[in-house]
Amino acid sequence: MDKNLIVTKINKAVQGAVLEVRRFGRSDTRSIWVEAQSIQKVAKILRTDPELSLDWLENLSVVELSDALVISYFLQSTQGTQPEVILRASVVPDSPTSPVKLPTIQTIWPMGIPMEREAREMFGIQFETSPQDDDADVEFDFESSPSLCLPSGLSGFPLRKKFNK
Amino acid sequence: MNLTQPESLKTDLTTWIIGPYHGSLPAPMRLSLSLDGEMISDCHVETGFLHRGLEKSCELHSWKAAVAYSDHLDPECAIFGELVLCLAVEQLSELEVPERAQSIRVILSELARISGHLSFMVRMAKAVGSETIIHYLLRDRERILDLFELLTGARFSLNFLRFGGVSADVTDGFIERVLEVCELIRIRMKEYNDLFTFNFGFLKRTAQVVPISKRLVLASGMTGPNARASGIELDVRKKFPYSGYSKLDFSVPVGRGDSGILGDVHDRFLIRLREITESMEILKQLLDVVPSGEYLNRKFKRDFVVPAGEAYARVESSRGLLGCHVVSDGGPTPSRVQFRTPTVANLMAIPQVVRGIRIEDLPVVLASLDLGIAEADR
Amino acid sequence: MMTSENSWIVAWSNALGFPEGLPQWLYAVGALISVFVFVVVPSGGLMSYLERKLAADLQARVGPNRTGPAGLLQPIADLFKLLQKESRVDWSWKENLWLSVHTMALYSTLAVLPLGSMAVLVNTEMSVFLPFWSALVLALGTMLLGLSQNSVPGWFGGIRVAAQTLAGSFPALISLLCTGVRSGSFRWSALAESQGFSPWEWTVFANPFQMVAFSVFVMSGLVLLAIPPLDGGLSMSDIHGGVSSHLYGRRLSLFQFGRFYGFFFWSVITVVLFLGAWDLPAQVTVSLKAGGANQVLALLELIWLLLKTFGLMLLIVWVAKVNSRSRVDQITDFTWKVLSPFSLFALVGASLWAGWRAI
Repeated sequence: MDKNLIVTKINKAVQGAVLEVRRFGRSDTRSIWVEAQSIQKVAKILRTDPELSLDWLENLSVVELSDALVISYFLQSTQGTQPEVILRASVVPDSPTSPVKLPTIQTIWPMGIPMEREAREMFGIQFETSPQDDDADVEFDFESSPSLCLPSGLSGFPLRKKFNK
Repeated sequence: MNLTQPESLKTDLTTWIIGPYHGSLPAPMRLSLSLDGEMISDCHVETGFLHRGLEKSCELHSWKAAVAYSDHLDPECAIFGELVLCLAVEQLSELEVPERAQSIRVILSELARISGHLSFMVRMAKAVGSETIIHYLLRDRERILDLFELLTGARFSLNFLRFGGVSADVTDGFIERVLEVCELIRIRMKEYNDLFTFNFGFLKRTAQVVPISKRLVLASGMTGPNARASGIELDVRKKFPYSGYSKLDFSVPVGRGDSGILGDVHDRFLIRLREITESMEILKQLLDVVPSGEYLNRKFKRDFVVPAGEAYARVESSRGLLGCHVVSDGGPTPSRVQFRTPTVANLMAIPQVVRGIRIEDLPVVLASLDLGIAEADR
Repeated sequence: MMTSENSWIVAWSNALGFPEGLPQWLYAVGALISVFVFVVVPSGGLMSYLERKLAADLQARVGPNRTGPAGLLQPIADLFKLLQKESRVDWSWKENLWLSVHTMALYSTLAVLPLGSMAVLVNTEMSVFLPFWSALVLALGTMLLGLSQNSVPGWFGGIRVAAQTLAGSFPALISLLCTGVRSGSFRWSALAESQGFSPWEWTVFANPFQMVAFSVFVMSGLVLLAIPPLDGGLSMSDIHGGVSSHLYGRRLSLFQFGRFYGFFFWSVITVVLFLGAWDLPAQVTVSLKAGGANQVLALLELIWLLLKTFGLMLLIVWVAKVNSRSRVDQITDFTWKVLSPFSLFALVGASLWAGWRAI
């Protein structure tokens, strides 16, 4: 029952979002692959549903695997309702130097703001806010500042494999 | 945003940009402050001055070189970076670590934790202007660095761990010396408490000053002693045990609001003092019985190949939860090494914490958050 | 007017071979310069050495030990080093203004520095108050220096110094009055004569109100002149020294020396007011005076006074090194809310005590 709870809930809220459920590496953690553009809605369910309440985003990691960018959200629950879960999505950029767009999860997990900033700088993933974002429950106005680590005027995205090749 | 003046008095906000180098900043970073008299009305944090491209460098060189890069993540407590990378790779390649190696790793981790907390106390003392205690703390931290040098040959960036264990066995006399240093620090803790921790002047600067609420901790993702001082019980060593921590008997100190308000600067200071004591407990338990055996899994040979796959490991560094996501494609170099560092959350929380305090409290607050900009910028 | 008290100047200059009958102002200038060169500057050097050695002892270090035996020539080495430091940028008019205010305020007190029963230039009823007023003018100058900079640390430093001085001046003045109440006059000579050599005859132990007045006087002096540990206005950690954050080279040494001089004269005044002045044992004074050895007496009194002054200064330095620096608003709060009521309490009590005895 527990295994499929998350998947059921996601599918109930966002039709057909879940692509696959796999083991993460060789550990027992499950990773759930979802459609890239439905990330925000899925994230909302994961956070707000009282049985799931995965409200702590530990890490946001981006990997480039054979031309596709795989984004992984490592989620935990501070209420102890669910063991940790990894949410994953993948996007394919048109060319090694062109950015891609993904919906943002800033309003759902504010602690992801610096992580998204880094993904934008290093991989060129632009996180978009949608008009329906309700920030009614955003208590602290954390700021998302522009590019930090890279010198201005740098073209391309350093952590991509084809950078400077 | 005038916090202090009545409506009839028209004043403007002053802008003051501190950084990248300033006496009150622990490392290169830039703070743009909007000041209303002596109160800070707004603050904007800019980092990135210490970006060295560690993650990209790991992709360009071999797996063994990645260990050397990872211990430059936080130069002060380098072992944690190495440890988290080694744990991730061992999880990935299903490499078992012999017990002796695990003990050595934990000994080094706890010594690094004590050393990191002593440096924290030095920064706090400098922020409030107490000069005498700084020298005492540094003198005692030297003893720990001497231990590192005895075992690994280096004081700060150890480059000592290998996938499947450590690179050398403990030398003769190392165990006794560690116990000596523990005893020395235990005696000196009393001295620090008499001289500094409960000093009237220090309490005036830190007690009930700038508390961090639980909600802010949870919203910004702060971990480590800063979060525990505000009452959140999260310690990776207890929640996701690694390297044999589950067999050790120790408690995790949580802030109690001894000086008035839960989560104020003094709480964050006291928590780290208590953590030093707990680390010494752990060291004593480990050194009582150091398991015999190999110090390195013999499968890790010159031509060791990390199989394809991925793994995520986490450790409790002296600043908080340090995580490492490793992806391998079976080749000679890593495909991706990504570090999740605790200071990033602290930096995001700074503008919230600093709003409405006086300028003179700023160095104290920044020191109390134990910022490691090197690991935030990577 | 050349009175019997400053005829020592004439006596010294005659003994040194200068022509007799020189104009008044020349004697005064010569006295000021000789006091500065022979008392203040060596005291500065000696104090800096002692302070560094004491700090090193407290901090488990060694301190200066290379220049000369046990590092005793360190102040001279420092002096040579500081004198040859160049300032590249010309003085602006603001800094000139600061320098003139600073010099006038600070070094005019040389005239009233009480260094012995026969070594005081100006010994009137107002002698005691001149250093106090010059401290206020000095603070004005420091504030102007701070505000004249183009940077935030300077502005904040200037305002903080002004706030501290305002706060510290009130209890300082009131507790100063307590000593006059006891000795009946504010002349240096009268204050010294009302005390004696042994600690029991010092003002501070005369009655409990005088002891309160002493503590208040010392602490408000620290606040008034921004001396560590109560130097929030010049705090190093957040505003890099405030008013002095843009000074370097010889200007910085001038500034630092000015601060030392403030500390020094406040300590001398404290010793003269409360800690027995320069009084030597009665037999010594009488026998030396009868024997006509006035210079020896003056020298002994000066040495004794300076010993006590250094002791007090080192005690304060000790407290400063070990403890943390307080915030400026905590200092001013403490001064207004704690020191001022205590000083008033001490004044009322001391007056009642003195009046009671008179009845």
